[in-house]
Amino acid sequence: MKKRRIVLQIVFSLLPVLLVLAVFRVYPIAVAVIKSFTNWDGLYRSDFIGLRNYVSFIQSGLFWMVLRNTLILLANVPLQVFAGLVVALLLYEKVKGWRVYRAVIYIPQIISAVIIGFLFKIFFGFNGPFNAVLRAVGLGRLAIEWFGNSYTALGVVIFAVVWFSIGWQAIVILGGMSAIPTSVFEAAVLDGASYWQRAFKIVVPMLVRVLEFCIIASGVWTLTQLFPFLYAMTRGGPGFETSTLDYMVYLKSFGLGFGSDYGMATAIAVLLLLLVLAFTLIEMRVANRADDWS
Amino acid sequence: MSRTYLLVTFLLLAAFGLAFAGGGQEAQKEAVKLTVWIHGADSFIGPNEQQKPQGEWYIAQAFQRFEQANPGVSVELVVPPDQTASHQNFNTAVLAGNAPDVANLWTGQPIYTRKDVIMPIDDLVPAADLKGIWGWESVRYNFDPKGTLLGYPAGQNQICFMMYNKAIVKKAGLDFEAAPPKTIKDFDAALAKIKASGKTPILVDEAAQGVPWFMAWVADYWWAQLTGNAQIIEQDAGKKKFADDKGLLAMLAYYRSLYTNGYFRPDLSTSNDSFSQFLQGNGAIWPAVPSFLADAEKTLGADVGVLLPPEFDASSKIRNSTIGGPGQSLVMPKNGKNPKVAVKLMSFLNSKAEYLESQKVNTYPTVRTDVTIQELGWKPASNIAKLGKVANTYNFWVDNLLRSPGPADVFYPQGALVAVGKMTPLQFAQEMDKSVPK
Repeated sequence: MKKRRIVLQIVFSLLPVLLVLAVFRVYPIAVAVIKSFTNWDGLYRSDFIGLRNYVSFIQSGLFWMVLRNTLILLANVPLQVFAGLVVALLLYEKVKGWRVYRAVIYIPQIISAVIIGFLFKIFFGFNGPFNAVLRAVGLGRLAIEWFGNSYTALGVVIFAVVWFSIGWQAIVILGGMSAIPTSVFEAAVLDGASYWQRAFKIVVPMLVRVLEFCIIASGVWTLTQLFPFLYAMTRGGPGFETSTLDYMVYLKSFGLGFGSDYGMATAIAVLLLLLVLAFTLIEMRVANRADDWS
Repeated sequence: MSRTYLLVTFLLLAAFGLAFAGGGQEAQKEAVKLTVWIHGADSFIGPNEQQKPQGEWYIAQAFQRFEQANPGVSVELVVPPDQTASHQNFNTAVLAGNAPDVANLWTGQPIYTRKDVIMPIDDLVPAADLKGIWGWESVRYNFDPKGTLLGYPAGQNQICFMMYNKAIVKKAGLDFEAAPPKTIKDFDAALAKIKASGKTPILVDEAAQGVPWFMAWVADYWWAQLTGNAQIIEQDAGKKKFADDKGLLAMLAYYRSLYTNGYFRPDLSTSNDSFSQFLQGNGAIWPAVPSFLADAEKTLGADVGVLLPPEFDASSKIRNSTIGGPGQSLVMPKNGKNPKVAVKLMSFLNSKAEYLESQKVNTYPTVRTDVTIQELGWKPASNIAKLGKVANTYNFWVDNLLRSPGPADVFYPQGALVAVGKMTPLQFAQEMDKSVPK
């Protein structure tokens, strides 16, 4: 009787959360997966077409281009985590003016991503300030159309995203560092460990779980949340040269012309979901191994 | 006594009945509220109007006049922030049951592909309107002269042209007023001279807002001249191949040559400030539609000239023409609650009186057949009068012939790639073939 009561208690305690998850997570994902096998136009047409959306997208050549772009943009993850770690290490030592630095480094996070995108678009425009400086110092040959080709445009996007994210990374890492007992540092100092030894032999190994969170969060964010940067800076172009999988979901739904191909858009969204899951699994495995080493 | 009682009772009931009937009609009149979506550009709202209070806009005043002429009817103006997205939003609004009574969408395929959510208006349009307006083919299903009527063409006839700076052209030793380039050869020679004078010959943004503007407004005329709209529609339907369309390939090759010869601005695939560069005198030519003319004339004064596209093929059936026609329409949702009043409003906005009224705020050629240049007060040598002369000989928008999802989804985002050489004309045509829905 008591056992049954406990079971009921567990069930009723979990039920609200399970219901919320079912309604707001499981149901939309299930519908998206089902719709990805149809030619849904967002209106009345929704015929089952099997794997045609997946096959035609993968065969179109567009898939490989947007997958390449997505993977290139993932390069921002180690860059922003490393930059955030360096900033956190510098600020952890409470250098002179550290309070100001902590506030300043976080400022990009409170600016709208669209505004940041437009600022970078202007800054790196063909006739923008960056090229003007290059021309002024006699490096006119380097004053190229930064958004005119895939690699340089993606490079500018990565630069913008890293600049935007350093503050967030630094604050999260600082939070993790504050959980390290000060006695560990005091002992290291007494043992004669240098600043860099303390940083990379003590702090970094003890931050593996925090760094894992930073990498997964920023990786998933890169895979799914870069839309405002891309929309403001390149609109996925020229052509589709800077489009990513998540941007392609938007284009196929609303952005290409006056029509929409929701069936295809949901198929791309499902591919993106698989990529996110794969990225997370790989990262967790690597982090587990790193934790074992430490 | 009982007879009097009966009579009094009958009279009272009759009075109540009439009062309720009248009140019901009154209530019905009061209940008619139309919600109307109007695009913020290229239709009833001019480029400068949005800087003024909404009450001063032409369209807001037109709605007030309609309300005065139709007591009990009120009209709410909604300006969707994004023209492209408003097409999808219209779909979802119809499905959700909260669509506007009248929506301003693009003509041609953008409304044909929405015929399931648009109410046909064949039985509601006054015969006088069918006679008095050009461009009904743009709102008849599949461009068929007998096709279902899906809406009204919006009143503006957006004639495409090339706006040019007379001072820059003169400095290059040219006079487009006296001797405009008539052929591609003339055009190339003129552009070479302008380039030699140190100015960018053509300022264009071929990817801004996801549209290759020069291709859609100028080069498409050459495509239509070489191939014809009828064949382009067949290609869009998958009956013929874009890759076999020599006209398309020739047009694209010439479009590419304008870039390789240095006649276009070099950053056309990423720029978005060509009009302001043109107004600052940094280039000779800018592809345009009439809604931009007033702003240009206000800034550059008498230095603004208009030039129609030169002929690609002097032997073509289509000559002395340009891309144009009503690019915008007014349609009703299939579940619209006030179809008669909504069509009355569409007819009102297309009336001669309203067109003349709108000219006090924005200047553009009309789709009405019964308006003369004298009535408009346009000076014969003015730029707008020159455009007015070709108002009824336009070649309908080629990009509005293309479907989305379909070839339009290649045409818009990838057009600029042909100019900059990232895609060959043949690759572009093959991509369009691949995109034709099966």
